[in-house]
Amino acid sequence: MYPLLISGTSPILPNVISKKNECQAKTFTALSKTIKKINMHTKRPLAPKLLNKLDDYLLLRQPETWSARTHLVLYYGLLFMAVLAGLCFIVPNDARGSTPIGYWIGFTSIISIIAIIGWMIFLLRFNVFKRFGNITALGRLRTFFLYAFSIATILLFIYVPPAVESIRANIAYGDNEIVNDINAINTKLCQLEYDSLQHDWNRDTFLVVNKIQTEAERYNGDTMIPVTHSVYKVIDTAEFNKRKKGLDSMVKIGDNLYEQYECPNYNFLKPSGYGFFNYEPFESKGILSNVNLFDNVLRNYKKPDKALVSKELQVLLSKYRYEPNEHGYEYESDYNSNPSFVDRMLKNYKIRSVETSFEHIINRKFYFNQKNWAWQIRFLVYFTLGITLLVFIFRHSTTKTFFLSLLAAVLLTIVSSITLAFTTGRSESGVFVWGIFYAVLFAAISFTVFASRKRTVIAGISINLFVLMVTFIPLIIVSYYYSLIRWGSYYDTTQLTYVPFDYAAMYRNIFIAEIAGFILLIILLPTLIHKLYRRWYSLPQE
Amino acid sequence: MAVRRMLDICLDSSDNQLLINAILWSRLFRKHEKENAANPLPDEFFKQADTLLNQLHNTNNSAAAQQQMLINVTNISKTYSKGNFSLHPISLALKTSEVMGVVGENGNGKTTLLRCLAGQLALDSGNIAYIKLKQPDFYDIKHHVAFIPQRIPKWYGLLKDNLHFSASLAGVTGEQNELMVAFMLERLNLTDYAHLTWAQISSGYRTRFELARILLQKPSLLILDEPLANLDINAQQTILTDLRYMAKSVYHPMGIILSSQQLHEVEKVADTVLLIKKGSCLFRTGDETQSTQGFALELETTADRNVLVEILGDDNVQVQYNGGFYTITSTAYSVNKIITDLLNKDVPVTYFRDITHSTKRYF
Repeated sequence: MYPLLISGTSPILPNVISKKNECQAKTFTALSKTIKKINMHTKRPLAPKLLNKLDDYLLLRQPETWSARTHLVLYYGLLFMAVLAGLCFIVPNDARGSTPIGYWIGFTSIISIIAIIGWMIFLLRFNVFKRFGNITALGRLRTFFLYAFSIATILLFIYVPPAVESIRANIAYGDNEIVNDINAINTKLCQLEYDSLQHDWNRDTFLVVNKIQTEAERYNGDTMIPVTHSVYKVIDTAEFNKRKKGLDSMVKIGDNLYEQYECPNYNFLKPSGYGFFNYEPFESKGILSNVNLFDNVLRNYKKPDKALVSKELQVLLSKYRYEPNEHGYEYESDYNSNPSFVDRMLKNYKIRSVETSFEHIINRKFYFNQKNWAWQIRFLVYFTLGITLLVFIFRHSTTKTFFLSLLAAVLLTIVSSITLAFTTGRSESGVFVWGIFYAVLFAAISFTVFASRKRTVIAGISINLFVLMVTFIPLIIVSYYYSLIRWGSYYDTTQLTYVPFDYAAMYRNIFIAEIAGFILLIILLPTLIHKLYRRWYSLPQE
Repeated sequence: MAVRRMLDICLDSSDNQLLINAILWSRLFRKHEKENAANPLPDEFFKQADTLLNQLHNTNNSAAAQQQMLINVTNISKTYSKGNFSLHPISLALKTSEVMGVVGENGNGKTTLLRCLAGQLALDSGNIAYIKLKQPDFYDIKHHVAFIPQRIPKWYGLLKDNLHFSASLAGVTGEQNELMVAFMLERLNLTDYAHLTWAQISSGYRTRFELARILLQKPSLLILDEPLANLDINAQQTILTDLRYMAKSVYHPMGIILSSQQLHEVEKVADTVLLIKKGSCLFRTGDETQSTQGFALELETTADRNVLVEILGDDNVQVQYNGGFYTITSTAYSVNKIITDLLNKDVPVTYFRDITHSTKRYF
């Protein structure tokens, strides 16, 4: 039990006395280790020695970091994610079938909630902010980041199953393979059904007038449609330029008279995707358009070996055909007594089932495409920020003040909403005005703690709510600005001009405001917020 | 006691190596107490004690704690906004190495006074000057003054982790942290309990662990509210003696203010004792103007009150029965004379105590 005491006849002191001068340092280290062996007994399940040593090291030298338990969250989080990823890889999951990702996300969300609760239980054991110890301003900022890092690590659990599913789909089906197979199926369908397909392009004639149309001319009722004459439609130059971009073909048949042509649909197999995981990013990868198919197959049609093409088509279709994807009443011919040829053809080849398979595969492949990242990162960042702020203010205030702060937030929201509901005007701007008003109010009340000699609940609530709002102040201001701009940027009837609202600039500025909010929080945490909490919590009570 | 004092002296020597030796030597003692308490201590123990003493002798560290003024309290008062209680203006002063006791009946303002001194309650009037702090804010004050309430908040996690954590937060880091925690555990005889949790120890040990935790933070002023409430008689004596020696530590001298119902025990170790009654300071020891009002003693006997009155039969002597014992006061006769008279008349005296200078006479 006591190594130095029970080993040898003269366990401790002779060393110190007889060889004091020559090995004093060694003796001190040895004895210090003995103390350590007796004092430090950190053992955690599944934890390597290094982690236990790190835990001891942080406890003795970095109490703020140690109490945040980020090192443990990181280690056990990674361990769990590795196990989860392994499990996701093992579980049978055909990329062609509908994804079970919803169940996985539900499962990992529950695990994340449990993990956050578990982390908080450990976190709440040791509160560095209520011990009146040596807490520096930067220490407070570091602790905030450690909380955020821990929460983000736990929330990352939710991303593991989609990531594994996406990786599996990408391994099973390459991008080029998907593109080539879609093109091949559409081409072969065109080759096989050439005789029955529509070969004539759709045609439309229109006259372009060189002026901006009045509102009466432009609009017919609620819907914006071109004013139709008996032979041609009259459109303005703006509409003309817009049409030009999307046309398959256009022929000028007079000074201002044009005929447009639209190629019939030959993309019989066109997986569209749904929800957030859409098909757009895939379209740029070489999918043949209707015009391409027309040019390749129909324009100079050569009669193929139908038996061979049919066989190849069946091989391709069976590659993607997946039994659970086949449902009843998915073709128009199922419920329409007079279906078109294309509908009958689609049913004949069971294209919908194949299309669904493609959609499932493509959705899986593009869970984490560029377009989806924006909202996925925002979800992670704002969820992390929200929980971190709640934990942070809970750690800094009394239990009573914390829950009263939440209650106050809810009550103020209700009161503000009712007030807005009963006031006329632009409610969108009103919301932001209320937000700015509350931010100023909470900041003003918070500042009173510097002059106060007593700790009051009101001041505590104000500080808490101010801290909760800080990150969003630039966003509220920018949103308020745009709520005003948007109202003044519609059709100008006096000048007969339409000033389009610059959504791109708005999204860019909102993004800048979001970043500014985070920077503001990072600046205020070790400065103003540090001083506010330090002062408020140490004040005497009534 | 000798072992504990050896630990104190080794701590005062400011020699870490010596302190480690003392800790290990103390553990040897505790191991023996645990396993072979019936047998005499082995020679090895005494040999090592001699060695330690020689080492101490060679350190030539003869520094003594210099007394410094810690806190100067001038006419502080406090009235709760809800409730009828008021703490009337009280003034006091305390230096390092001094122990001040605050006694009084329940609900008379002891805890209020202590919480005011600890900066926990806002004052209605008066001033508290924390002499060692220059222009302090309340955070500095609470870092400087440690307060141990009667109901100690629950600790979470391992007890040893709490001690390391508190020391670390107070700036005692690395090996010094390990050493000081080991010292504190050994000094308060808590080593065997360090790996337990709060729920696994008795309320007496909780008080001692809280004391260890607070001492690791090295406060200049330690305020304890009823620290003896959960302790057995032996533990009470031990804690009070320990507090007395800790206050006078050369390594870290501090002032201690404690409240208690154990008047005699507190009076034994405290330099000054305040008696608080109905929110006012009724009496403080060392105040000659009040203590010379006469002699007083407590007496426990099987004799009837009439017998005592008959023996002492003088108008200058008052005998009061307090349910279990008598309080005898006199302006003319000394305690020695009264007790001699009683013994000469064969009155069976099972217990007596001179309370002339004690706060007890005001209860």
